[in-house]
Amino acid sequence: MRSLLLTIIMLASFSCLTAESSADKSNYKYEDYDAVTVYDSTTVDVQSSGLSYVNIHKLIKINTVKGAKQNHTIRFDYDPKSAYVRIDEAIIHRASGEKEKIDTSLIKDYPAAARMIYWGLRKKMIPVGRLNPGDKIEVKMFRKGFTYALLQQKNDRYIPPMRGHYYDIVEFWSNDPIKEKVYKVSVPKDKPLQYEFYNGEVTASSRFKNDHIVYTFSKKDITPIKEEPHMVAHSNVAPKLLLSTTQDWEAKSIWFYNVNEDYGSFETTPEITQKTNEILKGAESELDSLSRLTHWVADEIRYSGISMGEGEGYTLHKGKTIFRDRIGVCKDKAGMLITMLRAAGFESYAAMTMAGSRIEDIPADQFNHSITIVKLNDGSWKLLDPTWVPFVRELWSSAEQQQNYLMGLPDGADLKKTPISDPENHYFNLNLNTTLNRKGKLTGTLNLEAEGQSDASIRRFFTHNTINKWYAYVERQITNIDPRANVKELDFGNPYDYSDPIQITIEFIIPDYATKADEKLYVKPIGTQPLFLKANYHRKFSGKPEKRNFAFKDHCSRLVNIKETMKLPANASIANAPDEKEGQSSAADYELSYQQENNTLVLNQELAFKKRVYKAKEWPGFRKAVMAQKKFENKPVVITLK
Amino acid sequence: MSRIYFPLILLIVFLISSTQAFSEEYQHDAVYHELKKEYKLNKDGSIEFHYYKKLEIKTYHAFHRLYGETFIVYNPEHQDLTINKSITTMADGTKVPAPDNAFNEVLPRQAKNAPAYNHLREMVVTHTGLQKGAVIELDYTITSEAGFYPLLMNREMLSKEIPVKNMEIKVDIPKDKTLNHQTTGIRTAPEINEKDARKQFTWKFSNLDAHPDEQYSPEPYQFLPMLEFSTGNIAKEMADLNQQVKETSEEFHSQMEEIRQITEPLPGDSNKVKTINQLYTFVKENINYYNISPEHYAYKPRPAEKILQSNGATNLEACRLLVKMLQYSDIDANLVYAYSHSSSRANNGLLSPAFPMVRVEHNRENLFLNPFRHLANNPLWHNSNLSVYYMDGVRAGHLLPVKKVRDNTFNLSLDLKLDKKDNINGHAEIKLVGAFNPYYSFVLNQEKALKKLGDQLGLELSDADVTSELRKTTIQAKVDAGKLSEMADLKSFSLDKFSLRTQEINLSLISDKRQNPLDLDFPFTEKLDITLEIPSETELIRESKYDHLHETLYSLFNYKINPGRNKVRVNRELTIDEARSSGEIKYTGIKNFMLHTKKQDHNQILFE
Repeated sequence: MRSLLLTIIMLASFSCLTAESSADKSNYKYEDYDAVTVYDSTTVDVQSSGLSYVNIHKLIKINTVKGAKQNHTIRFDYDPKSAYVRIDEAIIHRASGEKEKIDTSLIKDYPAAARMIYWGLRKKMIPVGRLNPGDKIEVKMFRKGFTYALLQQKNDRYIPPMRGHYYDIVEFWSNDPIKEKVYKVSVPKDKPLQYEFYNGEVTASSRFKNDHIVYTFSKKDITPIKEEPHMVAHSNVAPKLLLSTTQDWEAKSIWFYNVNEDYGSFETTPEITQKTNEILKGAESELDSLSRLTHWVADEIRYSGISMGEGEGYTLHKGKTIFRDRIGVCKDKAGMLITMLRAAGFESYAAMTMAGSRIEDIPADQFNHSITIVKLNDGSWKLLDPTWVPFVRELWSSAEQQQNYLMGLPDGADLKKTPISDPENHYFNLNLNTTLNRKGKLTGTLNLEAEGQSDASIRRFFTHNTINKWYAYVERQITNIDPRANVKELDFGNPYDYSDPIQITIEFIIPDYATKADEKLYVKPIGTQPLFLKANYHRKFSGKPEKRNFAFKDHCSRLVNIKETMKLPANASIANAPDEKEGQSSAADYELSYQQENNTLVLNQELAFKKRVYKAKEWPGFRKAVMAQKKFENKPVVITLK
Repeated sequence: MSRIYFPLILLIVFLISSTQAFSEEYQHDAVYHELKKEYKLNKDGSIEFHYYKKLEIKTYHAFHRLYGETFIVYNPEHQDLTINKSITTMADGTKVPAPDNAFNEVLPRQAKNAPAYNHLREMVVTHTGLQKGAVIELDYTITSEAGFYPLLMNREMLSKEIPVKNMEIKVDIPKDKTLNHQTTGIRTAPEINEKDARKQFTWKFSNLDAHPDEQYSPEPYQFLPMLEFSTGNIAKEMADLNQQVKETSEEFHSQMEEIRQITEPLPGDSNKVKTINQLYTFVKENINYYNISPEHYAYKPRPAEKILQSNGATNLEACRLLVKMLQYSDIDANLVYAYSHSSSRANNGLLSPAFPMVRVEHNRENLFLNPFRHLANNPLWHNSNLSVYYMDGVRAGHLLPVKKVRDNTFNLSLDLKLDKKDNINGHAEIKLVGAFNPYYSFVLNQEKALKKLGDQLGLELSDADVTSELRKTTIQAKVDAGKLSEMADLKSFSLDKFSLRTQEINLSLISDKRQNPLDLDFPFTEKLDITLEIPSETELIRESKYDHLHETLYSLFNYKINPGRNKVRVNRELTIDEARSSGEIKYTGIKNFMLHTKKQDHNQILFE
């Protein structure tokens, strides 16, 4: 597959997607790759209305059989409601020197495959067919318009929503190498264009041409990023160009506010008001009211997008429609909550954010997610995210901490960043009481309690799986450590009831768990082993690489408390145990230890991971905490039997 | 009223309730109150399929993720889809008809990179107004034009992922047609009504239990109750379709020069095995796989030339292309269809085959190839009860059983020496028989195959002498087994990695509450024989030990460790005689047996 995706589609639709990863290719030679883009040229002609005419010209060289296989079709995405795409020419340059022009009447135009969001996106496909290494494919295409539309007249369907304005986000990176990429944009002289190139260098120039200014950006020898495990999104670190004629984020904020107010997205109906009152009956506080309404929308409005036709994009569907259909994507769930909050007397608006990557300061739209803001009695704004909190004990998901957002306010707002959530808000408390006998058999009880995102990570297994898989999932937590484990009892309550932090209890027996040699037992306490990994994302870090070039990310901040009290056989004593470990850094604090109290071995582990997104220089501190826990996981305690 | 007689099905009385105090509503995520399917074969050959469901939502998961949409794939070039009704009744009785924008036609995901199948469409019906207690009703009809399908046929699984209170299946055919039909795992006869020039067969089932989705389960049609019916011999019709295509496309035309080059027999390849490999590999590595269900292209492959030109193929088309290329190399090859059922049911035309394959003869053996199906890199088919139906050639129309391969053995003999720095080196003899034999990997790239095998076993193999045949590969090699691992004040030599099958089976996925039969793919034996010479100052912790476990019919385990003077010898043998087991006693027996083999005593040698 070789899909020449129009980047803007990903960025402009609120579909909550994350960036794709690329291969790790360290020693860069063109021949090492399955295919190489020889050149990638984009020329944009911006009209005074903001309408843009785009010509794209690409040449891809096939190096391997795999590259030939992947490029047997070339596809382009577009939204017919706001964009027009035409393939002008597609030529196969055979390695032998022959040229084969692909009959453009064979080009397919069809509804794109879709799940969850059905907004009528289409694709064009060039059926290239059989290629061989050494062949090249040349494609010329034309596009006009935009990738989303608002409430415009039909003859204006291709004009962007902020009429008269133009923006673009141009990736100067790719999973395959690019020998040369050129982006040229011609803008009317009276339309000042601000731009910045991030994460690298580019050759830039601007020239006057009649009543336009032509900006040209070019870069040669673009190599794929050398990926690091758990690194931040590529768009945070890879070379990219952002351009915009919009003045600043305040202007975008006001525009976003007006779009939805003008459309009437948040007007209530008697039915909505009645439901709101019903939900709020007995509410004890401002926070209680917010919680009840946010969770009602989160749980009762299913994530699914059916198109409202022209106007899809930044316009939030009307509360009346969402309430009737009980479905919507993130913006619609946000809109439903705003409608109910307003019906309850709150001041509430929509906001835009970018889940998964950073928003740069150039006001080119870098949003893929929509949320709700509400003004509290003390005058401050509170973030609510009904899309990310179904069956989550939060109103704003802390998995979105350190994320930029833009509020759509009547007087405008600048770009903001969501705050860090303290690890204590996401505790993972594991208590084990175990008994080891002289033959190495371990019996015990595990009690787990988790809060915040740690709670959500565990609860999500239940709420995202059929009931008949629940028991096996919990059972597997122990049998993954030792398949011979026999679970005697387990209890996980009703996972759909999230009024309290999740609690799980498992009673188990593991015959011959400890290795017996001479008069010694070698045992790895269950508490040191990777249990409930979904809530312990840091345990998925291997510790490699030792040094990082890029920032990295965890799922969320968290506090891990593990305590195991192991009753030893009579007259047994600890001959050897891993040394106590402790450390502090801006990324993580940790303290791990063993103690013997009479006839009992006591394991204590406390680890605090302080953020979601970390700078590369914070890796050593994070890594030390991870590696300390791994050491306890891998090294047994030696117990002498007397 | 139906009576289910599979012992397994009887077991599908939910067990979770024994450990979880859930109310009735939490037994299942949803329930079908009614499920009706009606198939009508018209006199002109057109077929109408009428579907109706009434489904009640019981949990949030059911409406958030499971039943919020209904996906209907069809072929608009030959089929018409009509949605007759889509409405939700909310828990309070409010009726929510699906709005116009709840019907969206998209490309089926399977066709997303397949120009030849770009005309297929998937109607997504979004169900609005969903909540716990809501009831979805959907009614639609697909009409297939005459000639699109060769006959009227289907296989209806009678156990769904959720319970079904009432299911009705009707087949309506012209009186002069015959309907072959059979139920499996459930005893229900149809009501037959004859009126005017029509015959109508109606099966009614009630209170059908749900089946869980569990790892290591057989294919659903191999163990769940089902109804099959057809108005003719399915395989014969498919063979005819294949022949029709063949007659109109004998040559590759524009691709002929490339085909000549590819199919040129390799020099010195007297038994043609290298040529077979080359062509098989060509299709496997060059042609994109289109995972299109045969019902959507009515079982008709495209001509070989088109397949090659487009650089993509369905399973059937890839086999067809390979047959054609093999024939160009003067190699006797046929297109066949595999059945993993009893031949009698296949013979009376009831059964649609499981998948296509290419039969090619090599050294008087029948090899069965499929470029897109994983066959353990070995052209011999190891599954039991396999029959194949010949689509062309002199055996066309014949259903023949495939010779079973019962001997699947992995034999590892290691003669090792431990030095004073804890390094372990020596010599290995490895025998890979039957399903363990990655024959193709060795023929294609011996170095890569050895590396892969070594990685699986935790051994570095060098100076290897390999003899690879279809049934058996033998390797003699120098071996670097790494170092002893530290375990506090002890040192350990782990044996659990010296396995190719038991290590693959994740026992933690076989729950104590399992309900489905256990399917381990193939019966096998793994033998390990290690002689390890140790320095005089190193002391072995384990004493001599012998362990024997023999479960009649399905498993055998022997373990013996003999410490000698500066030498330790370990023998371990494990056999699973029965790949598939049903019933709680059997699968817990196998699980317990395998758990026994995983005891630490059987998997590590300790030194100090």
